Amino acid sequence: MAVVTLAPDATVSWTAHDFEPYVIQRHLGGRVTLLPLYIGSLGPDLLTKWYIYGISLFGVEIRADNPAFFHRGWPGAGFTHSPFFALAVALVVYLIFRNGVWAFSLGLGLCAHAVTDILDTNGTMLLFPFSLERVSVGAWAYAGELGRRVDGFAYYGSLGLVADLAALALALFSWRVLRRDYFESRVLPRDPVLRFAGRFLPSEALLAVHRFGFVFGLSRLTAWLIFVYVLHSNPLDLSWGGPSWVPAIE
Amino acid sequence: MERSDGSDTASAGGPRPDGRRWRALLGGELGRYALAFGLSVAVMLLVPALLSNMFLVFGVLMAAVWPLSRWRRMRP
Repeated sequence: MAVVTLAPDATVSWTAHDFEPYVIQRHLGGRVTLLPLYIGSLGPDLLTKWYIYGISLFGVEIRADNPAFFHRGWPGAGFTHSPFFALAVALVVYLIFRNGVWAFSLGLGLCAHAVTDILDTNGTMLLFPFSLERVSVGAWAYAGELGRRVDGFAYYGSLGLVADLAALALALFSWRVLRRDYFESRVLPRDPVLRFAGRFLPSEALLAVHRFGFVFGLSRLTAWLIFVYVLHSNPLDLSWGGPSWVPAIE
Repeated sequence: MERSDGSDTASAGGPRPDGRRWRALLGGELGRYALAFGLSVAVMLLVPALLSNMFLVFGVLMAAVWPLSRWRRMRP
């Protein structure tokens, strides 16, 4: 019997990437729309994280030899975490679909992800392809190479938790973006994909798609916190570059 | 709430008493999103392999806000 373990849960990043698009939408208004922003914000990890944490395919483990380097370095998939990649994707999308708002939003989401990820010790190649050096603030230890669960314990046991809570707070300050009237007056008219989907789906479903990122982020942040601190007694280490029990990648 | 003529504004479509307003809110949009949130968190905790599973949350959210029985009423 073939066994395939794809672990789709492992393909997404932390919740700051869920909340950021709402903050960007709030500040840029009609110049962006949320769906491409959100796809861009999750995009770099959707493309790469399955290979970082590894999958089991027909009993064969498929995983990067050096997950941390593959994720953020070159040669590898690190180019997906760069403004250059964001610009290239935005240009391609614009040339194909001729929609500036979608192209700009997608590129901005990708770029926001690349910039946010400089906060961990692994960093991102912000100047790719002109420089392969990874820019890192090193606020918390990158632990992707240790697998999804340990990565979660490390992230939520460090300043990563503060980053996620700060992103949640900013998203809550941008609560107007989540309102139905904002969606119907500012987002829906500017998003051709949602308008097309509106031919088949009721407005309630389109609104749920618009709000999905927030609900997803809030749900998994809550679940992770209960899992890490209530169901397990994970130590909280808010020191710079922590938690101390993780061998930080640099 | 009672009008000067003795009729109830709530039953006449006016402002609802607080209790009814909260019940309407929880049984309405806010309630459906809260249900999606609660169910998603519960399933993630019961099955830790589903922690951060976007398909789970998307499915639960859609089922909560857009059950098939509402299809006809919600069509644009």
